[in-house]
Amino acid sequence: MSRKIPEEWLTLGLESSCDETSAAVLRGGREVLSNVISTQIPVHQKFGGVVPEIASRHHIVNIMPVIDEALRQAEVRLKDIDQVAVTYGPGLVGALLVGVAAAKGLAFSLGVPLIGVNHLEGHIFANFLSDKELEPPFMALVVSGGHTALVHVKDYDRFTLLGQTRDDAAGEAFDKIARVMGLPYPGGPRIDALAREGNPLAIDFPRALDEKGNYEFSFSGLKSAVLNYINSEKMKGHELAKADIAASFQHSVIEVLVTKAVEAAKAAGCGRLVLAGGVAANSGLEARLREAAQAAGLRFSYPSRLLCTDNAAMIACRGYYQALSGEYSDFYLNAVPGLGLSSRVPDDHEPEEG
Amino acid sequence: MFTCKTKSPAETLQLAQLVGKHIHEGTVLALVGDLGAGKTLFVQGLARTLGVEGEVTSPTFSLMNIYDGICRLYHFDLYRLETEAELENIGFYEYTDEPDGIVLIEWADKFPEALPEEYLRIDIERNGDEADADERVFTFSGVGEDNEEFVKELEKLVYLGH
Amino acid sequence: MSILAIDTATQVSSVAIAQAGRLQAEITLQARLTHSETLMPHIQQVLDMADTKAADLEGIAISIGPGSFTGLRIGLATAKAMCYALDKPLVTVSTLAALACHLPLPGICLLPLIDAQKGNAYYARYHWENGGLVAEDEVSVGAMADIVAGCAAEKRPVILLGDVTQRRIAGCMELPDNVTIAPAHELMPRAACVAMLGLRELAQGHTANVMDAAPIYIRRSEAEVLWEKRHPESVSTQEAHAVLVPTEGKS
Repeated sequence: MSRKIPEEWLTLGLESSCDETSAAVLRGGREVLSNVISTQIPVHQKFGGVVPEIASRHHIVNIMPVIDEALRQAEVRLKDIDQVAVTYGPGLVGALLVGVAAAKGLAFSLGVPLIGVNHLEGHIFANFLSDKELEPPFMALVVSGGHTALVHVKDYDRFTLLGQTRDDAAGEAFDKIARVMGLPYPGGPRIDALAREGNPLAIDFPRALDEKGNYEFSFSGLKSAVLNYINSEKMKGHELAKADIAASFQHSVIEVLVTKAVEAAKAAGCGRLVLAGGVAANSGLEARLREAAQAAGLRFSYPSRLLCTDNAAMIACRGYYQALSGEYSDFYLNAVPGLGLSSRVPDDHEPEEG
Repeated sequence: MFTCKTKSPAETLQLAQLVGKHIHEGTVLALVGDLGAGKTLFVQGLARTLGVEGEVTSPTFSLMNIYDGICRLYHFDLYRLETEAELENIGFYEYTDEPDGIVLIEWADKFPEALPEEYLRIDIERNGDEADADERVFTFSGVGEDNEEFVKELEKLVYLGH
Repeated sequence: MSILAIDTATQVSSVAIAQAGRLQAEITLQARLTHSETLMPHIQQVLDMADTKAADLEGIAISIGPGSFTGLRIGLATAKAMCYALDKPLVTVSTLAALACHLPLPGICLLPLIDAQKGNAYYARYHWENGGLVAEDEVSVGAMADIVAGCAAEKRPVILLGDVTQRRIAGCMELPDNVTIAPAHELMPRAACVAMLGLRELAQGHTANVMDAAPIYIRRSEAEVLWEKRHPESVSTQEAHAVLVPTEGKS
């Protein structure tokens, strides 16, 4: 292992869980030297050849160019890298496998440690890069395409999962409702846009798991309620008030997320609420959460637009802190497409209660 | 083929449990039903019965989840896929051709020609009436001799139980 | 000067360390869809077995397809990353050609097959001439039953290779008189073969571009287009996803 102090460690992060192939170089835990994302930089053009139409999905072709570009932009040589952090889940298995295999190849060849990172934890840690002064503890609301969860981040290596999706994640519910309403993909932003023109209180959709102290999320009930409403309107021959449906649906989702997040933060005695995940880009959610946090006397953080999306810098950041706690992976590391969040305790402490 | 009804999510889980206790390794199970019909719920019940301890959630985003129980379970959701190329890209055929475990496919009707030669099909329909919103109608049918046999076996078990 | 060779194109996982004229060490096993877990540990192991350091390798040879999309990606991503980090050349070897290496005997037709699911296989014909491997046609996709039946028109012995032959052909269909399936220990893909062909490629300077090398995938739809191009007389009016049916006697 390197003789450098942790603040000087150079972590190479790799992220290929979904559509983007990304590589990043991080110095210490917070200094982003580069953060290269395949769809934003025409890396495939750099090396000639015909550009395939869905290039952004061809991780196997993008992976080396993004790594090369990340090193070049960071002005760092591969042999100066101290460790390799890679997303091993959740995500699309075929995509994850490319990143994991490449990470192993690099780590083994360089003789440096490999660190498997949970993409969702990466989203939480993206906040540490957006706000260099941010320190735990805080309450994190994680809202990504496939996951919705509340995590009490007590320390860099100690979290308590308060609740997560039991069935449909918020992002999925948005996509499915959008489809039923005939809106094109991607559904989330379309509903967001439509919702601005509608009345959020027009229709009163139920909120599942409303009991106090229950931090689990279940949107399939809400999804069913909206579908039932749409079906019944169609059967009655009514024209769908799409903007109102979108606004009311979004309002219900946001209210559940915001209410639980603020309640959880107060119950845990946290002074700060943090938003994480790709859906964090939903304007309604971010605004409402900020408002509610303020009203409750909580400070509020969320990552910059770039850092909300899938990117390797957040993976490198999470990897760095895992390395500080000695949490490394071996070369049997496998991709886990359905990986979720779970509570974590550092090994040398007593087991967490509750 | 046969049909049976469940009146609540709890009953659906019981039905899934029954199927889970008797399903054979190597089976491909095709689940067909609209949004909210209960495909994922059914899979959750089935997976638990097959010894899967971790979370079993909708693979709408990941397209395929893999769980380890008494055998491997491959849980697909074809909802987001648009083209055959995408299906091939995720190795769908490699997992469904002579599976080394059990394969569960939600929205299987999206690519009917992609299904293997033999599979077990479960159609889930809701009752149109608002009063019986929780009721579901399950139709089991088997494609291929082994699956047809299994469906007959299942029919007996279901009617014995009720 | 040794190379590392990798084959993860099928259910068989294989890695080898070899020099020209000498196979130093090899690990070959049937590992159902777990290449992602075992490949790197196997590479470490085989290097240890051959008492070779990764930094001392002359290059890396990878079996490039056709085959399992997942398996091919894992192997290629690993090979590319290693070549990039070690600054060594990468050479790619056709998975079918590597299979044809098993039996370098003149006068016979070697017909390796790789599972393309639904009773289909990727295949191509090869023979050995003057110590060199000759590919007779490009990779195609076809129904295994038809591929086998089509061999009857060959005027020479035909040997079928590939692990899929054990599962889908042996005991499942009648073989024409001139056709045999290679014995069990010869029909599996082996990194030793990838190494042999890889060393030749390296010696000739045929290296791949680490930055954009991609596996050979032949998608169903592409395969159909390829097929129709080569056989304009037999274009059917069936739907795009129909199984390809080669006419007898033609490759």
